Amino acid sequence: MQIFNNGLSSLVELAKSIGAGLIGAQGGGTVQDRLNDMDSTRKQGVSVVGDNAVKLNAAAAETGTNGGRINIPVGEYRADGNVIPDNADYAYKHVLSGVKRAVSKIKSSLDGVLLYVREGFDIADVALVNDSAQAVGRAIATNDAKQTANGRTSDVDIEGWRVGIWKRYSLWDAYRNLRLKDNTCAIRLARHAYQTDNANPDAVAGWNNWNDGWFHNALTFDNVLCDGGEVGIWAASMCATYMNVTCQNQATDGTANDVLPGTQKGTGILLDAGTDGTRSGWVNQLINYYSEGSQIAAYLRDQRYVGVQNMFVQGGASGDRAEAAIIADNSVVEIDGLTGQDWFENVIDAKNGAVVYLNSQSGALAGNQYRTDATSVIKRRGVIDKARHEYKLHKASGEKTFTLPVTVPDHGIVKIYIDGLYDGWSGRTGEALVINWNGAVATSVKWLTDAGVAPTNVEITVTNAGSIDIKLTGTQSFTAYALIDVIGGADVSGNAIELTGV
Amino acid sequence: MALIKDFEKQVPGLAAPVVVPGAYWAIQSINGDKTELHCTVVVKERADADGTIGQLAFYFTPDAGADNYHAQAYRHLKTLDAFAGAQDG
Repeated sequence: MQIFNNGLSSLVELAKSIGAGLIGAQGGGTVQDRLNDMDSTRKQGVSVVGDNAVKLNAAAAETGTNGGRINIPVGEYRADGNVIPDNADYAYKHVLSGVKRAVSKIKSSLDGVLLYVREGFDIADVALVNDSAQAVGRAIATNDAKQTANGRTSDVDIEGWRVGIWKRYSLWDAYRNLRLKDNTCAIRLARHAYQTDNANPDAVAGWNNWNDGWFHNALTFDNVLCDGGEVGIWAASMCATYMNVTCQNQATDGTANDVLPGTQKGTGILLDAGTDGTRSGWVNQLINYYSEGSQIAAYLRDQRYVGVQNMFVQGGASGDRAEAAIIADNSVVEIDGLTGQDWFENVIDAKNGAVVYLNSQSGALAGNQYRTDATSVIKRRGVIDKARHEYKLHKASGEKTFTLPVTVPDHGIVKIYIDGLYDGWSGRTGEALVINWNGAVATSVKWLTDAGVAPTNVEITVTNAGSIDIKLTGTQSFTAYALIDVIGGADVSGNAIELTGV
Repeated sequence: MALIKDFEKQVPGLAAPVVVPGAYWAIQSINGDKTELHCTVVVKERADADGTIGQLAFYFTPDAGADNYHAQAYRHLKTLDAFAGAQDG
């Protein structure tokens, strides 16, 4: 009883005496004392118009050095300067947390970074609000050269910033129960230093490279709402799970972009990689993604594989259509469960070599359903097998060699069907079996025609590494279709069930 | 990085190919190992075109001790007869 009668300072003394980690007690209790100063100011009815960042800074410095919790009591605290500075010593040291985000608020007009984070940062139960007229600054950010890791951002409101959360490199971070509203960009996991305009330069070096490369690996997003602005989540991520994310009202038309590159329209989730146009992204997963009122619900760029498992998307009115539910740009995307309603210019837009496997789509998604350019395909379930590729080959006079974009995988077996017309009237058909034993012996090409030879005017050669050349010969024009079936290889043959002989 | 070069598309039934002058050729993917890199190239009418007009694949043996594979791939492309006169884009 005496402890409570004596108030918080006694709790601090008790904590010190028993070595316990009571809230605010670490670092000798002065952190809580400082924050109590602010709290008492609020309780006495004095408007919080001053800059409390100095006191918060002191709390951050103390907990950053010694470890501890920066406790934000109930109230609104003004911090027009930086609260947690960038300091390598603060890694894995402190926690910034309030009571609940609805009642523990830090308000700012800062055109800078409010909270710099390092590894092991932990921010919870607060609201970080920028109330300047324009969306400026960043609520949570790394510097331009360092990473976060094992961090937690949970039960936080972030509102009114140019970028709510910005990171240069990151891994093993978790984002849970977030409400990000009216930030120009809610979350940005960047591939380059912070840009004050909408430039989006490529990473200089490759993935997982500290020296101006890019990485944001193994991340969890769970129950994250991004409302408004130009873009919800923009990430050069890998092995990230975007689970129960909602992006809504990213409705900008791209004519006055502050953050999004070029004239890209408002986008819910934008995934990219180190270099635009090069498929260097790895894998990411969207699970139960909800989007409404955004021009582009998901823009997936340069991704080796994105799994979309359940997605509801709401478009616009017939006369004011949303741009797309999914834009697959030089990416492989597999969609299980796409549904929604209202109108789109294109429900799925595949371009620049994109391959979209659409396994399930239902609902009232209106407008043009699928758009593809010359190098992209949208393969609907039952239309074509995943490992089947079709190419059209054509030459006028003289011979021409075509290298196929697909290769024979290690330990792989591939069938090639040729169906062509030479000189406009003479059929050229045949079936070839290609077997590749991991480059250890010459790749074998067997023609399965009656005569066991290639059709006239067709030559197929395959390198030991699996690259396939088809040469069309003869003096006349020749148009042929090459259908490639990858029967096995790599993960198939290489991991086949081993039988025991008797 | 990319190459600028005319793109000719043979169209069955037409004696002459359709030509897109100054097309934008960009390496889309690089796969393989030090013995052979298999690359695909996409062709656009211009750098900011919204969609492609063609695709090309090629392969070469890289120099594992030289600079990055991207740069090597573009250099190899420029050694091909079909890319004589191509400009860096």
